[in-house]
Amino acid sequence: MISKEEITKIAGLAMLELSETEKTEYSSQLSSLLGYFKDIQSLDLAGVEPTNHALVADNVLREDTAAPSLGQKTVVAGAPATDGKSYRVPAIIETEEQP
Amino acid sequence: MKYEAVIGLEVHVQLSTNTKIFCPCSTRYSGNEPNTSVCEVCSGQPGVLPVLNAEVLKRAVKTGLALNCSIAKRTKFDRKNYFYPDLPKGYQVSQFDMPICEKGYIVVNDGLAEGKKDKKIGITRIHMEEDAGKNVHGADGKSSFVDYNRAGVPLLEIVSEPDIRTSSEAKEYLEKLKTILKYIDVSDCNMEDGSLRCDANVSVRPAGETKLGTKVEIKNMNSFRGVQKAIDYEIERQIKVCESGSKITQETRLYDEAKAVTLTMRKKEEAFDYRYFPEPDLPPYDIAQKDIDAIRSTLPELPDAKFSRYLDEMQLSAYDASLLAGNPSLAAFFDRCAAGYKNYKAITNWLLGDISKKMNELGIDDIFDARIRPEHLLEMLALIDNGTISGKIAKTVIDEIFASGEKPAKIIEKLGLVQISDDSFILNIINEVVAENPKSISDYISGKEAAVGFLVGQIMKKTRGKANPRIVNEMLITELAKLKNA
Repeated sequence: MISKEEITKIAGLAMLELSETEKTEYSSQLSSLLGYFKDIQSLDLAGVEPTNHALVADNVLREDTAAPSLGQKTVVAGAPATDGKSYRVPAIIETEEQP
Repeated sequence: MKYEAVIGLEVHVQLSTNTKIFCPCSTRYSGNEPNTSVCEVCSGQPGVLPVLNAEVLKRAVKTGLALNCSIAKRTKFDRKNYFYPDLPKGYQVSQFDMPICEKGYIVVNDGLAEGKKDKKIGITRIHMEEDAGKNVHGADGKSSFVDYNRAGVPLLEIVSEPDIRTSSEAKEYLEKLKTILKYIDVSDCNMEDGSLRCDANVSVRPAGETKLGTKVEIKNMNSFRGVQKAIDYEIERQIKVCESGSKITQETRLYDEAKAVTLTMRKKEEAFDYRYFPEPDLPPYDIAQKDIDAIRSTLPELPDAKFSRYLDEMQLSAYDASLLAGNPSLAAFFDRCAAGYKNYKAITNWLLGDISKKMNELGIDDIFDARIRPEHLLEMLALIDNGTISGKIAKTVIDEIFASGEKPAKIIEKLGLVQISDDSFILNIINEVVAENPKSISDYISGKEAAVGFLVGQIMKKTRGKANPRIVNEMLITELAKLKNA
């Protein structure tokens, strides 16, 4: 069972704001999801290589040759806020002032 | 109590490929407007698919081989999840549990000339990842502006073992790493431009203790000197905390270059829970032994091997050998000269003496950016050897090569620098000087040998340095002996 505290933490990591009702709801939904993995864990998988990828295509590479980019206007057109050149975001402050 | 510092370094180097790691946007955006080298892939639009740049994989393997690593037979990418405005996708494509290279080392031997011993600094791993964009802080303090030109530029993260004990050892490690990376030509390695960045993990423990102390990560250092100063400050700070009976807090601190202090970085709750998982949009990569061998065959002679060759085969001093081997361009220049001239010491003296001095004066870092070529130096050395010019005149020739790029023979002709070896001409000058300096002559006759030096100086002055000093010396002594015995 996934606790409401764990839901709050996961939501925080995903930058999601959840209501109390949603937390309760997701707590039970995620718990049942994890239940599936319990079933899988009960299988005897000795000698089976772990799968870390579903694709069979290996070694897909591209040559190091440049192609045109989108252009500044197009790039910032999708920004929620802009000065016409860059994405504008709330000020980022990185340090506390005491050494 | 005596304390010992334990230091590990995480170095990020930008690979100098033409294009970004997962898309064909150009990496040559320096000086361009923000967001002009950005496409759907590197700005993280929905539904796009990244494709790995073959050159990135090749350079990662090359770097691993040069740093004595084992290369993974199979490697994959993972997503490192966190939110920050300069990270368009909300995750960085990086490598977690199957990095491209592991278990290497760098030999730090910068102090060899002073008799210090070699020390191996282990390299835990090297992995490939994408760079983030750049935040520019607004003047009003309310906004920051994000430029994604740098987002998706290929990076190698090179993680050292906590084998480093002092700030100067850290600096030596970085210098050696930079030299090797420049030799193999994978990155520009310019810390000021951000193509080489370094974070340091620092902890202290009582001397003799084997358990590690609580580590603090320091970021934001912009020069090797900055790294050294930040580490020194942090070691001292941690020792003070320990001695006051408090505990070190595990945290990230930013180095403030202007104040030369480290400051606590605003703590982001659970910021370190990156929830890595395999990147589903990129398939794993198998590295064939034949490809590794092919890349290994492209490796140039690396600085340690060069150092030994200069020392053992060319009989250079450890100091000269380490200066040359530590500078890829200078070493290449030296090697080309040495292929055509056997007095290696003479080549070294000119390169590390007058030529380096001239480069400093002109602010030239790379000798191949100057107008002098190995052919110039070889020709000049031959002209010194056959007596056409003196070593003193050669200094003028060097100046003129730097200014005009002309050949030494032409410069000598143009400036009338040919050394005077004509006995009768020199004898005339000697007679003039003897006549003009009766005091020095009587000094000499009364036994003051030092007067000879003064007289030679006067003769050289009269001939504007063009007289052959060996002949001047011989003839002057003969003339003085005649006077003395008269």
